[in-house]
Amino acid sequence: MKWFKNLVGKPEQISDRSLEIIQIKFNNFLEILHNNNAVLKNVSDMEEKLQGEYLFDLNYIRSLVSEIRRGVIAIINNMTALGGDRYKKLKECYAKIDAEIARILPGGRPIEEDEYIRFFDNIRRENAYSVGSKNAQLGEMKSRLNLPVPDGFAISAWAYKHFIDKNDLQHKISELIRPLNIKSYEDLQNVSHQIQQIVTNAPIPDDLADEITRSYKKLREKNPKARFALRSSAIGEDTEYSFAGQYRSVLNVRAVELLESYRAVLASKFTPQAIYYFLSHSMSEDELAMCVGCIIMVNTRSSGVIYTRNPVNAGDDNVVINSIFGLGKYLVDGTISPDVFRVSRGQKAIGDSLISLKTRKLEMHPDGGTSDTELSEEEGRKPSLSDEETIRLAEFAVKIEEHYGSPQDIEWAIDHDGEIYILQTRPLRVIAPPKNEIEIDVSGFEKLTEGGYTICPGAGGGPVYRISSVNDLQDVPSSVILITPHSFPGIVTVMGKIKGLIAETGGMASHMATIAREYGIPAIGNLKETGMLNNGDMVTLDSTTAVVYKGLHDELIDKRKPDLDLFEDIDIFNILKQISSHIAPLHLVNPKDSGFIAENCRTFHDITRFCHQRAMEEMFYGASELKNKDRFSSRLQTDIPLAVNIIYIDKEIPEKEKNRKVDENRIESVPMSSFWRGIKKEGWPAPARPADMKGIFGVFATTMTRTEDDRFSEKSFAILSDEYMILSLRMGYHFSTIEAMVTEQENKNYIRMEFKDGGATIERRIRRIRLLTDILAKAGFENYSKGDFLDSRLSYQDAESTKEALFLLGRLTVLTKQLDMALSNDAIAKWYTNDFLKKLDMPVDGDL
Amino acid sequence: MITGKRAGDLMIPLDHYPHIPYWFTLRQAMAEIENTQIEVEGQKSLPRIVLVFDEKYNLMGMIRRRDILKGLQPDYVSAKSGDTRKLFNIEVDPNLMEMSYDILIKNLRERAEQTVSKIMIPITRTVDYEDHIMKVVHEMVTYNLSLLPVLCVGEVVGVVRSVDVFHEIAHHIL
Repeated sequence: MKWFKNLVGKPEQISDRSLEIIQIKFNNFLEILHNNNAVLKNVSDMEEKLQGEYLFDLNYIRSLVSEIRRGVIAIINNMTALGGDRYKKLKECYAKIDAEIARILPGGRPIEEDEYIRFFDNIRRENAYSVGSKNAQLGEMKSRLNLPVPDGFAISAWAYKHFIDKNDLQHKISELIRPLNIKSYEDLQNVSHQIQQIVTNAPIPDDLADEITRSYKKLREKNPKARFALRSSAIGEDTEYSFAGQYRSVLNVRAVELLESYRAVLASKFTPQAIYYFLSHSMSEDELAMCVGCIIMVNTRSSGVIYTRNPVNAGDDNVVINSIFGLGKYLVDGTISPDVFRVSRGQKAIGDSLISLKTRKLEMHPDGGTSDTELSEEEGRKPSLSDEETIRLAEFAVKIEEHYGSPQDIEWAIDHDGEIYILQTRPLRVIAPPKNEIEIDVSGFEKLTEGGYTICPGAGGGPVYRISSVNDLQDVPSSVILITPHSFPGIVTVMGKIKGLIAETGGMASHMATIAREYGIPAIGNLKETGMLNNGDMVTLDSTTAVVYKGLHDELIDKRKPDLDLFEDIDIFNILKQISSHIAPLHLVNPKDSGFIAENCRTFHDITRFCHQRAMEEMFYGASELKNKDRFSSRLQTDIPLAVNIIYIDKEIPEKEKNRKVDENRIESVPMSSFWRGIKKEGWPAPARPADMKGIFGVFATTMTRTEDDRFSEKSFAILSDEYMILSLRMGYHFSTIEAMVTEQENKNYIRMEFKDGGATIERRIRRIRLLTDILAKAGFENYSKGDFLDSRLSYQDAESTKEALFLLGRLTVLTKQLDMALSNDAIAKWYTNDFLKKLDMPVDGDL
Repeated sequence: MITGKRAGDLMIPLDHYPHIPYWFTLRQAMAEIENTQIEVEGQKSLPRIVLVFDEKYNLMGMIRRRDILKGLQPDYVSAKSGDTRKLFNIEVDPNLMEMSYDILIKNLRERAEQTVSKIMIPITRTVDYEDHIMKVVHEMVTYNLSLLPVLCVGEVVGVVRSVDVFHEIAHHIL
C-alpha cells in the first residue's frame, strides 16, 4: 500500500494541501475585495460627477473608464482562480458591456478589418466603423431609402491603417501629440504642422494606391462627365461628436491629384482644430481612423443645410432650410449669411422666409479646384430656391428624419437642371427651451446692440474680446465675450474657455454654430452692428433674444441657464451619462433570485456585485470543505461551553503542535473579537442544576429527525485573519454562519449572516426569523428571508460601526439561542422583540 | 360515551402550548403565560403552566404560576421562621406597613431574572396518547397534578389539563 500512499499523499499532506488551497483562495478573495472597493469608489466618483456640480473633462472619463476596466478584469480573473470554469461566462459578459462602452468612446474601438474600397451601393449604416459615419449614411440613404445621393466609393479605415502601418507613422505621431498642451494654440499649430508634413510626405502603399486609382477609373467610366470630391469621413464623426468642419474636403479632384488629395484629407485629421477637438473629447488619435469618400460633385446651382427641427427651439417643429448660391462651403464656414426657409412639416407650406443678400458664390472650376464669383446686388437678393424645390427638400428631410428616428442636419445641393442631391446627414443637436420660461425684467439694462440670429440660446457675461483671424486665437483670454467677423474652423479651440460668442456674419447653419451648441456657449450669428463693442468693455450677451447689454447682469445669466443641470447638454456630460449606464446601474440585487447568474450581468457593477457575492460563497464553502480541520486548528479557550475551532489563515501553522489553544481575550481577528465580545456580554446559560436533572424526562419532543439531532454535536469553527472572519456556528438546532471583513476602508467592510433551522416547529422558527429581521433591520442590516432561512447583510460602514454591528450579532446570537421554542404565538414573539430591543438599547416600535 | 375519549383526544398539541428552554428567566416564563391564550372548543384561557425543555428538546419539567410567584418572593419575606433574612412576618403583619414598595418592586424584578431551571418542578408522570380518560383522571387525582404530558411513541406530543378533563366529564353528567 505504500506506493498508493506515495501516490495520493499522506493524510496530513492532503490536509496541508487543502489548507494551502484555502489560503490561495483567501488571497484571491482579498484581491476581489480590494478591486471591488476600488471599482465602487470610481463608480461613486462618476455618479458624483453626474450630479452636474463638478467640472470634468474627457481625460477624466477616459482614465476613469480605464481604472474601472482594470478593476473589473482583475475581479473576473480572481473569480476564475477562486471558482474555476463555472465563472468563465463573466468574460463574455465583460466583453459585451465593454463593447458598448467602446462604442460610446469611439477611441476605444479597434479598426475593423475590411476591404480598402467599398462603393456606396455596398454600404449600409452598420458599416460606420469601417467607412466612417458620413460615408455610411450616404450608402444607407442611397441603398435603403433610394434617395438621390451622388455615386461614389469609400476608402476604408482599414486602408488608413494600412497607410499608417506601412509608413510606421503611429509612433511618430503619438510622440508629437503626447506632450502637447492643447490650451496653447501656438503649440497646436506647431504640432499640427509637423504631423501634417509627415503624413503628406508618406507614400501611399502600392496596393492601396492601385485600388484607389482603379476604383476612381471605374466611377469615371460610369460617369464620364462628372467631377469628383474627396471628403473626410472619420470614424465617430457625425455621431455623438459632430467634428463639424474639423476635417478637410478636396473639391473637383482630377485623376492626377487623386492620391495627393487622399493624403491631404488624411492629413486634415491633424489640423490644430481637429487635434484640439479629439483631445478635448478625450479621444486618442491612434484609434480614430480617417476614412475618405470619393464622391461625384454636383454641378451646384444652390446648396445648403436643412435642419429637420429648429435646433435652438425644440418646440418649433418647422423644417428649416438654409440655402445659398453655389457650393455650400460659404454657408458652413459662415462666409455669407444664407436664405432661410421654414416649412411646416404637417401642411408642407412655406412659412416665414428670409432672403439674405448673398454677396458671392463658390463654383467648380473647369480646370480643377473651385472659383469664387462676386454676385451683384440684384443677383444676391434673389431667392436661392424655388417654392417647389423648397417643398421637395422638406419632403426629403422628413423622410430622412423618419428613417433615422431623430432630428437631422442634412447637407444638400441642386444642380443647374434643378436635380436635388443629398450630400450628408447627421444627428442634429436640439436645445430644449427652458421648462418654465420666466419673464426677465431688462428695463433697467442699457442695450448696446441687438440683431442677428440665435445660434445657441442662453446668456453669458464678460469683457469683450475681438479677433479678426485664426492667428488671434492663441491670445484669446478666458471668460470673454468673443466677437469674430465670421466663423473659421480653428474657433473650436477656444470654445472651452469663452463665455459667449458673437459672429458678425454666418448663421445658425454654420459649423461654428454646431460647435457652439455642442459646447453650450451662448452665441448669436449675423449681428452686423458691433462697432460700439470695444475690447475690454464689460457686457452681457443675451443670445436667446440676440441683445447685448452694458455691464454684467448675473440675474439674467442665471435665469437663462437651461432647466437641465449645468452640464446636461454638453457632450462631455452626455458621454459620461451614457457610459455610466453601462457601468453603474445594479440589476443583480438579490442573490437568492434565480436570475442572480453571470449571464445576467448587464453592467460592470453587476459583475462586481455578482463576483463579490460568489467569492464570499466560494470562501465559505471552501472553508467548510477543508479536510481534517483539527490538524491545523486551535481550540478557543473560553468558559462558554461551546467548542469553537479556530484556523488562522494568515499565520504560519506550527508544526504538529498539539493541544493548541487560543485565549478568548487574545483573538487575533478584529471581527471575531468584536463578535465574541457580544457573546460574552450576554453570557452563556448555566447548565441546569444537578438536583433538577433528576426531573428530566428523557423524551425527544422536536420535529427534528435523529440525523439532524446528530448534527447537534457538530463543532463550530472559525477561519480568521486580522481583518476577516468566517464563523460557522452550531447553536443547538440552528446553524448560522457569520462572515465579516473589518478594515479601515469602508467599501471593503461587510457582515453577512446566514441563519437557518431550529428545533421547534416551522411556525415558531419563522417567528424567530421575523424577530431577527425586525431587530437587524433597525441596526441597518438588509435582510432576505424565506421560511426559516435568513440572509442578512451590512456593508459599506466604517470600521467602528461594523465592529458595533458584530458585537450586536454576538449578543443576538445568545439571546435568540433556541428562542424558537418559546415563540408559540405572534404576541409572545412581539413581546420578545421589544424586550430585546430595550435590552440592546435600540428604539422600540412606538417609542418616540 | 365518555369511554370513547382518550388522552390524545383531550390534549392540547405541544405546538399550541407554551414552552421554553431551562435557561430562560421567570420573567420570560411570565411573558409566556401573559401573552398566550389557549383556545379549546372556542373557549380561551390563559395557561397556568409553562413546560421547560433542555437544549436537545428533552422535556425537563414544568413551571406553574404559583412556582413563579414562589420564585419571586424576596428572601426577607419568604425565609423560614428563625432565619435572620426574614425581616417581615406576613402572617403577623399582612399589611407590611414598613416595607418600601419601590424596593420591593426592584427586588421582584431582580428575582424575575432567575432561570426557570431553579424553580421548575420535574415531570414525574405522563400519560400515553391512547390512554383512557379515566387513566388521566387517576394520574391527576393520585399525584395531585393539573397537567400531564402526553406521549406518543416515546415523544411528547401535547399536554392534557385537568380543566379539559373536568369539562369532558361534566358534559356527560350535567
